[in-house]
Amino acid sequence: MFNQSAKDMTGKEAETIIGPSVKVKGNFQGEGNIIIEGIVEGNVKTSKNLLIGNKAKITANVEAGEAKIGGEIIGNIKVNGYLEIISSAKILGDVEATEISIAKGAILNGKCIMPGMKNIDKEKT
Amino acid sequence: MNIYLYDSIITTKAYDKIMARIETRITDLGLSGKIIRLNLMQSVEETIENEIKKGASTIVAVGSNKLFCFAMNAMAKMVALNLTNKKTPLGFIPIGRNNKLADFLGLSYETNACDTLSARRIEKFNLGQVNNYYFLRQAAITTDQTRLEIDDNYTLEFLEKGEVMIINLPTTEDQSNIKRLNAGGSNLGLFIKTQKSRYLTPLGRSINKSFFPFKKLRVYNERSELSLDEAFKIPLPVEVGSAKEKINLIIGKKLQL
Repeated sequence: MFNQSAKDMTGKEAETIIGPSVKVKGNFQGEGNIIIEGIVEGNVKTSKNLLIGNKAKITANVEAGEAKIGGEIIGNIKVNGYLEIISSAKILGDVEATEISIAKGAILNGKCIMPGMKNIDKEKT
Repeated sequence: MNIYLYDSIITTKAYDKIMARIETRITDLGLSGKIIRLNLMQSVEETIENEIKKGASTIVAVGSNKLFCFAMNAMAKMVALNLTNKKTPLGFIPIGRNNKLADFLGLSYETNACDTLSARRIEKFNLGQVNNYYFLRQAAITTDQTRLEIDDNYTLEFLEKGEVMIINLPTTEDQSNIKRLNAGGSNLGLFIKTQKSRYLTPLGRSINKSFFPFKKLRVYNERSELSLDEAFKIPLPVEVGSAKEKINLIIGKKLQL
């Protein structure tokens, strides 16, 4: 799970930090925690934690172990564990996660897919 | 035998007294050897190759950061070409002040550096490689018009002015992520510092930092050159990665690692 403060993630826990002044184009894949505060065009993938800052702009499909999203994303998001969407987030794309929290003020335009619904559909039939 | 390579700068009269003190100290410590006074016509690489073939036990660069880096490059190339037994260490007697490599290696300056040579504390270091050149601490270039390709997977462009540093051996708290990742010494790290223009943020400029670990990096810039260990510059484009070759260096007690 993420610590509440982004500062903790920045200093010690992140393997990769994409700062506000950097633009990444292409397939970005990391093994550890990633913090994105800049611009990304392409794909983003990590098996660990992903933190997207509130000024980040991402035009990419995103895949992570867990994620906390505060910026703009045009693309699909797939998270294996917990996905936290905070109030500054603007997402245009589908979202898939095991657990989701969406704060008041966040914007989400797309499908929201969670594995728990599949079992309920099977029981009805 | 100890081989002392004298930088062309220190053979001038201004350095006579300093060099006399250094040579006396070397003799007192029983470290006497062969002195080679380099000039513009002599190649550091050829000189070192000849001396190692003759059986030099230690090579000591006496002078500037630049000479030390040239000597380090020469010895790394000899290791790459299998022309040396790989054990010959490189020492350094820095002359002058503000020598960042000397500070990093925990070396004293001038006469005091001779005592460090005598202690003969040797450490093996990984090197970074940029085309056919090597660097010990870092390579750096401005972000202005620089484009980077990382691991053949993605590219980086920069929206603010600043500096791109390719880190082999981190030294500052800023580069602490790299310290943690580089414990095994296998990967280099890319550390980027930028600042917004003061006209856009009149009340104060915040520094933005980015960090990327990588295995292979290509650097492109048509205007600027890549600076290696703040000693010399090479033109672009270049390919950067961890060198297979390692080098033995004589270090001081206060190595900054």
